[in-house]
Amino acid sequence: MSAKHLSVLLFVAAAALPGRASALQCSSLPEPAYVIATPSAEPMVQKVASLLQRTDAQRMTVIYQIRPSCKALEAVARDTLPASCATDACIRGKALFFTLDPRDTEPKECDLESTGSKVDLALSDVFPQTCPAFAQTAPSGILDNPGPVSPYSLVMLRSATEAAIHAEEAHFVFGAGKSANIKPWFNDAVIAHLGTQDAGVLLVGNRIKLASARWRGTTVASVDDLVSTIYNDAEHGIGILPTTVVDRRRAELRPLAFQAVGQKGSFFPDRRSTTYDKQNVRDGHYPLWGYLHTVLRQDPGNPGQPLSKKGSRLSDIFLGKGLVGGQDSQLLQVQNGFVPQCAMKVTRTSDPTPLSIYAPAEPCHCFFEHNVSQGGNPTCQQCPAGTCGSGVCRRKYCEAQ
Amino acid sequence: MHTYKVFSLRLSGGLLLTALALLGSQLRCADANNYITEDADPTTIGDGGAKGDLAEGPCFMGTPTTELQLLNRCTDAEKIERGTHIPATTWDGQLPLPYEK
Repeated sequence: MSAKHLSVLLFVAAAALPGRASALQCSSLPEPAYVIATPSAEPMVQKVASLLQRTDAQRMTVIYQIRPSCKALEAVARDTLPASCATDACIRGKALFFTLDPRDTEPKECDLESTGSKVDLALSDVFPQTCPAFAQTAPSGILDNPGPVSPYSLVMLRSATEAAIHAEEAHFVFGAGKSANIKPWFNDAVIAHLGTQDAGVLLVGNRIKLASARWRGTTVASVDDLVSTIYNDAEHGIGILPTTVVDRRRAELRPLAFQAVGQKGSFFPDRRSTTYDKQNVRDGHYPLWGYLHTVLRQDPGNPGQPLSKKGSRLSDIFLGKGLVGGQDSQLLQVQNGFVPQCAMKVTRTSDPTPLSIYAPAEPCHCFFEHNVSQGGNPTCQQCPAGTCGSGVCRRKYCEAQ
Repeated sequence: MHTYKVFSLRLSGGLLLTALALLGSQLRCADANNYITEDADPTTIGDGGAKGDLAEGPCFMGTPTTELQLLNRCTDAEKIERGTHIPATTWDGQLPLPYEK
């Protein structure tokens, strides 16, 4: 029996095991590709992993861990040894993957190499220089590609009565806790965040002028832990989460409108608290966002190219280029809560720099607005035949140019 | 004499209506003590509706060249306006903020 057959056999056996109780070696899965991703990307990672495993002509087993953005960046940026894993490089412990069986709606668990498994692709919501580890010296030997926009929001439970927060209030709530005496955030135990390696803390920190070493409150390990924590005190609990996650949990979570320093009034990421159009992110009224970056190791022999072919293919998918399992990867971005850059009207060159006006070369505003949940812009025209009375037909919508 | 009486009645009626209108506007402001969505906010005007620069009006309607102008550009989006919840004993409102560095 060949090694390939054996790996497929093991893979099928793993699929038959219940829940996440497997002690399967990740390296035994067919065509493994290792990904470490920020929590905002989890819904899209799961979708892409499922499509690549079950539908795509070039099958691949995406083996992934969800970790804070800076941990994800370090896993690739610190991986400078060709045959082993340096400290803080690679991924260790357990990872998740999807089986071939379409009845498995939840991922299974497998064991990574005890010495560490090298990462093909990292997904981060911040530029490397935003991470404390790279604030002084930018990492070398990596390819960093800013992709779609990933918004963040300060959230409370749906049952809470507060609707907005000012940047200055958030500065005191997360910097001083209950001692700042800011209504209604009086309980340190339920002022929750994912720690100073997390993009939410770093991106919001830039906007509320709170240095990463100054954060107080309760540090939690995962999105689910954060939601559980604020459930402990529904009226006072507050946290920071990506909207890619929050939008799927709007029945229980309330994104707060945010008022930046110098802004007149507070705005939601979306045009209204009940919509999903990210209008305020896109036009510059809501500044709590970063780009979803794909980060790969460079090929030392050809520095403009990625070292990993699988990482390169995955990077293209998360950047919205091409098809995966027959599906448009840019549509997958939108369906999983990201805003493609072609739907943005503002930009920034690094996380702390101010917003400036942006006009994409090939805009996709109508495509985006049509495909978000509850979307649809009456001023947008469809072009199934490929022609428009005015503008350009792109992805079946007449765009302004 | 009759003309004077009619004029006096009309003047009183006018004054009464003015007083009622003023009272109504004050009650409306009092109702909006916590936050006002843009739908209900008579001072916030949608795209193309506001006049003047940021320093003069509620929103900026020109071509923004700074982030502050982008943040305050006129929009049809829902907006929440409320005063700060930071007690004066915690912060005097002056920048820089205490935990910035």
